[in-house]
Amino acid sequence: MLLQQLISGFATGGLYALAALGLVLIYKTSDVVNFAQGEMAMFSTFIAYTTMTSYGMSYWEAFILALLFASVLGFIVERFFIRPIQNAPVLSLLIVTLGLMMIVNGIAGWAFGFETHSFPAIVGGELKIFGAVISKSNLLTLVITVFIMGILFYMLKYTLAGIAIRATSENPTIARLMGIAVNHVYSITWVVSSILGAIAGMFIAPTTFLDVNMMSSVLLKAFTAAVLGGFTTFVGPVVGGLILGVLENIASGYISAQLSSTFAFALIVIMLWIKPTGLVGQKVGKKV
Amino acid sequence: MNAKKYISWIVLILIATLIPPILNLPGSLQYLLDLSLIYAIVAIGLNLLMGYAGQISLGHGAFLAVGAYTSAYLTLTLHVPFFIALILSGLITGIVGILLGLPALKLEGNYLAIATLGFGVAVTQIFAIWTSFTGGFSGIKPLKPELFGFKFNSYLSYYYIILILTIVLVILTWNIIRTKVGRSLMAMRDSEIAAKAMGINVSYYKTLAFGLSAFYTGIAGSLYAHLLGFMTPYDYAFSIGMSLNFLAMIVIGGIGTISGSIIGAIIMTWLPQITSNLPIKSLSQIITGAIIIAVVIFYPNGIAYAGARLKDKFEKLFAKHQEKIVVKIEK
Amino acid sequence: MEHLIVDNLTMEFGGLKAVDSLSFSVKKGEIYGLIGPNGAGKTTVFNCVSRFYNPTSGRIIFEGKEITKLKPHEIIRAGISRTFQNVELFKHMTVLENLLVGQVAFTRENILSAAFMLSSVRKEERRIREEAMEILKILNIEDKAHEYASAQPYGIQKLVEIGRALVSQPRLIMLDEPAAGMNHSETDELAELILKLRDELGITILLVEHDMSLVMNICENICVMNFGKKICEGIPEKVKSDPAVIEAYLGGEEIA
Ligand SMILES: Nc1ncnc2c1ncn2[C@@H]1O[C@H](COP(=O)(O)OP(=O)(O)O)[C@@H](O)[C@H]1O
Ligand SMILES: [Mg+2]
Repeated sequence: MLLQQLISGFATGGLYALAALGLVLIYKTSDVVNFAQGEMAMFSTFIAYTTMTSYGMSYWEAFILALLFASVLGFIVERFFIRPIQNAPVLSLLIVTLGLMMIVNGIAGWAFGFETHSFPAIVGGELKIFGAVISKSNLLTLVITVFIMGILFYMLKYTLAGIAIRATSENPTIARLMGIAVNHVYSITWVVSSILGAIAGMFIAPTTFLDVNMMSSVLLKAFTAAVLGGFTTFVGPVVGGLILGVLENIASGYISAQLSSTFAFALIVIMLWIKPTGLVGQKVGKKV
Repeated sequence: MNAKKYISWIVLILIATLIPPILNLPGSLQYLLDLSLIYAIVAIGLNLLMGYAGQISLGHGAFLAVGAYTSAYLTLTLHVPFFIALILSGLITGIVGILLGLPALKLEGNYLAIATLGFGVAVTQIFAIWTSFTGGFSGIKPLKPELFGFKFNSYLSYYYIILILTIVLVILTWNIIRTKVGRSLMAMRDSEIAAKAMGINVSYYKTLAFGLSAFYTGIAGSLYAHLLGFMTPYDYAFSIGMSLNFLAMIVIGGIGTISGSIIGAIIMTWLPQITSNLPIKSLSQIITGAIIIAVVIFYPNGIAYAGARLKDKFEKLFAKHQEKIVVKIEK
Repeated sequence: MEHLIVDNLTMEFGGLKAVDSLSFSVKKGEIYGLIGPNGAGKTTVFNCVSRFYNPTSGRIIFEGKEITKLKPHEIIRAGISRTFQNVELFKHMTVLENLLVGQVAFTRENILSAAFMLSSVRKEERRIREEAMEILKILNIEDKAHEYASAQPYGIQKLVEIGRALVSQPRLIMLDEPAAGMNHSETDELAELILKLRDELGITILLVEHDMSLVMNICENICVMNFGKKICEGIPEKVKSDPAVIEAYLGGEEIA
């Protein structure tokens, strides 16, 4: 029973973590919180759905295609909407991502309609481990999530692009002086972030069903994960996501599922109140 | 305020008073006119918070809901007269705003946006399952307002109540922003440390800004409830989508200006109506998103004052023009 | 009489002692210079007095009362006001409005009386406007009153900041590099202004400044800091010839 709860908690938590990682990746490099991330992920998920149902593609073909689409979308958004105002005040950047949220959501409604669809899971069926009944798709989701995070952290730590990303997130001006093409870093982070969001979207869609508003609550969960763990490190959102997933699973026994966003909000407020930097965050000094 | 400004406001009020009976609009359009003014009140409140105090809120739809349900509950269940319920709704929503403002004290910018977004979602969820208060899915029927025995049954008669309240609130807001409180809010927005050094208790004013902004929205919520014949917590006006629309109103009309709030509210209320006959269902949403992005990209140094600057430019242009005319006459 | 006493003040930032056991005192009606190379800790001292920073240890005493426990917004009511090294004006307000903000702590109007524009509010508003205009006149920038603060050249912005600090009728004013970015004649006018503030308005002045001729000309006493520590204190003549001071400035500005 406990194992069962933990596995399914980790599975959803892992997906929150992926989406949150996407948010933090952008935030750390370019100081933008992308409120459109959920809608972008929703759009990519719809691409997968449409190619599957209307063009008869297999799950994995559609999956790959959706990721390609997500990369292009991430690239376009950064290049044409964010970059022109990258030095603008927080409020301006925020409004742009909110505007994108409205546009992407609106276009999705126009292109795909407002109906709710069911989205296939990767695999069906259940598995018995140590007497606990665990859904295969949960397990596979978890494995894939861990795998993706592994790749991501490997890239951040050991590849040139990863080092450039970390350098930029420490200090863009110095990174630029050291010969790092900071604009490329911005492009890369938006592309990667959009891909992470799309993966989370496609893995969550089987449980939430697919419609144009599916990601609004997921986005809030991703925010919660990022706030819990802290926006200032890459490990933070992973820790935050997993904690949120498990907490949510435990709380669902006591609190109505209809209140899951309220639960997330409460966590945000509590966390920001007691430790605004998040569980694994560092304090950033502010000079007068 | 100079004479020119006075006169233009008086002309505006006259137009707002006379237009509806002259046009004799069908009910659905008169309803939109009522709604425009209600949203204008929200936009003024949001502008106080965002444009003047520099705080962000993505949860004003939720404040509207709090005001609306408070008023409905007071009038339906406790049989409180409409006008008292109206004021109480504003005050109670104001208190909720102060409560939200407290955690907001520690937050800025993006974090505040996230927290208020969470607040917006949470309130809708709570209202949806709190059926004893809200009636849940089956909804409730707020009463039509009554004053001295006169029942404001038609959208047209109700329009005048809303108009008077809007005018009163605009005047009060104008007085507030050009005196101590307004200056403190703006100072805090422009430089928090300098504001502190000048003796401004930033925590107090941030909380006050949230409370004040929520008060306006609560008043609007009460008016909204009694405009609707039937209300559920799933009403679009209470959603995050509407909170974004409120934001769009002040961005489009001009952050940091009262007249901009009103203009933005009118545009945003009528835009869906105008685009509703077009084949693309979500067109107004797409257009709204595009416009607010355009406004921001057009004013990269902060739209916060774009409105004021634009007005400045116009006034200068106008002044130059006038000078030229004077010169000509003198010659 | 000692007006401001900084007593054994230490401010650490994660191991770095920006201010290290610093003591000095400023007499009433004095123009006191606080100088030292960049990063010496001068602004940090200001920020401790302004209560933006909580000193690691030490006390700050103003007019006989310890102010180390006050909140930042209470400092101006205690009688101390300041300017900032990197001009901190309210950019989107006019010059006059910037000055009016300096009055916020001293006006009695509240949100209700203001919303209904009671006659007491009208009167008070008129009074503070007149006072602010008086100060703009002293600074010789009354013609800029209704222009945006951010639209002013740097030198004027510095003056507006001084004006904003003056509106509160402080008894001590702290100026953080007021001459930075000013040309020669502007600096001369500034020197005159500072003397006038002291002589005519009786304000005690604590001055951080890199322009050595300005400091040496108008300050009665000077404290020289390096790496957070006081390395010398005294009248300009003494400071100028002190070997430790010359050492600290070697390669930096020449001491006039
Ligand atoms: N908020 C802060 N956090 C960390 N270090 C700081 C902070 N404020 C000042 N410092 C450090 O303290 C030292 C003194 O700075 P400062 O007082 O600004 O020097 P000055 O004004 O004499 O040029 C510098 O090394 C600076 O980096
Ligand atoms: Mg300094």
